[in-house]
Amino acid sequence: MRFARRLAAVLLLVGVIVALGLAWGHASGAGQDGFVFYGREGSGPGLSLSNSGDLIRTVELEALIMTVVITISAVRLRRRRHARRAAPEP
Amino acid sequence: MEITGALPEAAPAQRRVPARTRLDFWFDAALLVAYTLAYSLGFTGLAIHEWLGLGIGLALLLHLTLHWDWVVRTTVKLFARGGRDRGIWLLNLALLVVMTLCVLSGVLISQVALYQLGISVHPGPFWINMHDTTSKLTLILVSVHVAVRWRWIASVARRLLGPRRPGASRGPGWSRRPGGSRRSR
Repeated sequence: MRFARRLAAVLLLVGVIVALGLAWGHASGAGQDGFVFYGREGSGPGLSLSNSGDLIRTVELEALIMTVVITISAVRLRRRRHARRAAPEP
Repeated sequence: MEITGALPEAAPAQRRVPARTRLDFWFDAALLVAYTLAYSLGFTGLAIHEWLGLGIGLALLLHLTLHWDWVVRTTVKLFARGGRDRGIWLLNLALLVVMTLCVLSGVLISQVALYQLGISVHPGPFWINMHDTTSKLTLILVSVHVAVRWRWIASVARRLLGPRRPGASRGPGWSRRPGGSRRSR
């Protein structure tokens, strides 16, 4: 029951963001003609697990950003610890 | 949904990680892998990219629901006296907005997933640009979102993946969750 309440709150929050996004698109004249239901047929463009360079580039970018953030965090943590040790005992 | 998973003291070190912490760790790891694959459009192709994107959208709802108590607690503290998690709260809010817009614009410019569901959309350039911009922003925000919790990730990974040490103590912060609170069990 608690999970359902939380999920409802999350859906409400996400729904507000979606509504604001759609309103933004509408105000910007996004040219959205709307959804057209035509029935299921075919599968459209197929699968292609080919360009591994793209995946490697994504992983590299993520690793780079994470390394920067972790380094900054670790340095700040070390400084805080040094400052705490250097502080005189009460 | 409240998962309780405290196991007996005699269990191996890996098993001592609470079930909820294990769920958070593996679910979030799977989410990161799925996001990395979805971002790599050239690797996956359009069909996998779109289905993964839709799956990530649903998984994010679950992720946010699982951490809703942190959202509420931090928000209350924020308005009460400016909590120390203010930066992370703002980061997570930005990530939520950007990720939602990314999934929304992705759905609206979908060529495969919605087609397979029998739905056709006719997007304008606004949504294509929106998807392009928000996807780049999510790459930065997701990486920072993960990295700011590196101590929790390292701590849980050590316990889950490290060598077995039967009878080893949990050590400090064993049940510290991404939200930074200790769960009382």
